[in-house]
Amino acid sequence: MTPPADRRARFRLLYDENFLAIEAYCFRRVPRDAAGDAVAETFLVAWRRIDDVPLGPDARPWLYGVARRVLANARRSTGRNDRLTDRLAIERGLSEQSASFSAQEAIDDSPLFEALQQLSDDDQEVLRLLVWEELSHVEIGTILECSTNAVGVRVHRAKKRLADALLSAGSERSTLLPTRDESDPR
Amino acid sequence: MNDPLDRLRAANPIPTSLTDAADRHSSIDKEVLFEEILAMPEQPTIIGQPAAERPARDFGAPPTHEEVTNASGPKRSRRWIPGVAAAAAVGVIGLGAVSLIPQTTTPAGAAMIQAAEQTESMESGIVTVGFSVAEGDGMEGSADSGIVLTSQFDGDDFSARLVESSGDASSEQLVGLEVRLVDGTLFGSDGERWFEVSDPIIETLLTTNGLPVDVRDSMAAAVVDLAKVAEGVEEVEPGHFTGIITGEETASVVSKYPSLNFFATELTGVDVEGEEIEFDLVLDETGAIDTVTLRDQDVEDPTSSEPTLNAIEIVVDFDDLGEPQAIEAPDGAIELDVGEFLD
Repeated sequence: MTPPADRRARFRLLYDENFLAIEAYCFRRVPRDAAGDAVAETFLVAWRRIDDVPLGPDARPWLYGVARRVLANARRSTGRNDRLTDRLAIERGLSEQSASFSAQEAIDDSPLFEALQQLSDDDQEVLRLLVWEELSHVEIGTILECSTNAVGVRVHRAKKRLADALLSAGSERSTLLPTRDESDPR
Repeated sequence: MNDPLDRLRAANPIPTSLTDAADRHSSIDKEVLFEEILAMPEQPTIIGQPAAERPARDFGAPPTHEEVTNASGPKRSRRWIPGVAAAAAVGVIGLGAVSLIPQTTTPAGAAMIQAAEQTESMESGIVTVGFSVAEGDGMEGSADSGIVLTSQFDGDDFSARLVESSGDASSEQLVGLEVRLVDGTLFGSDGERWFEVSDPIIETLLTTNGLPVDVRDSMAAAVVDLAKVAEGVEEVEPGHFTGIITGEETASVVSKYPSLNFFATELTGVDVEGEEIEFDLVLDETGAIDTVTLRDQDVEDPTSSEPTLNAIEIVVDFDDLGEPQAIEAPDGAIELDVGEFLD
């Protein structure tokens, strides 16, 4: 067991170096209140397990892994309540949309958002980790507990599915729009 | 922008550049949070544990919101007592988390496991769980606080009532809600009125924190788990077993038994790590469990600045096992607005 002073100093460093990244990770995925809780819980876990946190560059993927699990747990525990909230909203004639959006749900590019929603959670996550968190395949492998090669395969497949979903969304959208006369110079 | 990844990158709701900026997107006070985290008790947690070390299906719940947000807040002066009792209780209940670890079973231990499994298989009966606390070094008639959870069950029907008491029946106070599930319809009482809750949300309610919900399965399963991990088990006389369990696994109870989340909320600030809890387990004439009693004689009061030792006792009674239970819908239940109920 590391002496208390060393533990504190180590946690301080870990916290300072990774707080913003973990905060952004959480806020990208869940609504504001839940994200705040997830950030706190992630670092609380890190503090309590500071002796187990990898040193150096491996620390951040470890933290992402914890945050991912914290969010998954939170989703499981609140899922039923969310479904209930949705049901109540419908019963009361309100919009199905919750007042609490995650940052992802606020994406301006609605076809992209819809296409993302068609992907599995795993596909979405691997793409988000790659593009939004800008992580390497090695780091993603640490978070998802799979090999680097497996990450490559997952990324490839997820990217293709996203492209297909976007294409599908685009074609559906185009059928809803008035057809433009190709000869029209406008 | 034909590449879907470029499109996704452009849609990043919190661009990476912002994560380096001083004007962040959230209102979390980083330094306040840092101090709150350091103020939290260093109790065991299994979140973040590598998968290889983690028991299956026991990934664990994260530390509760209350644990974090209350870290630097005022300590509750009396609330810790049921908390400690519950902590010791879940020391029993939560041991399911380690039941996956093979134990060397003695003949006495094997007999106890068999009795526990027989108890778990019962389809009807009454489970009563009592927690009591006494200041000082003994339990003799000096219990000054306690909570009692009584649950009747018969097939899918059940009732659960949790009361807090300061020692005599007249001072009993309902904790949370009393609930009954009868023929698939859930009824809840706030102590004054009964409400009927429509069917689609029953599942939600049954798993919502704060309700004294159906603990019969988890309690019976917990006893099986206890039997499997107990140390030094002896059959001191026919049908009477003694042994010791540790408090180390108490943190895992939340994830193992969601229906016991109510108790888990009482754990804030209680450190059961290193505690040894003695137990007595007595069988009834059928070979099922009659009573399990647990004692911890030297629990420190986490709210006291003085080193105060207290004794806690937890008694789990199984009664009328296998006998039909009269669990009836309450008269005059009001059909409740669901939102109001959840509020």
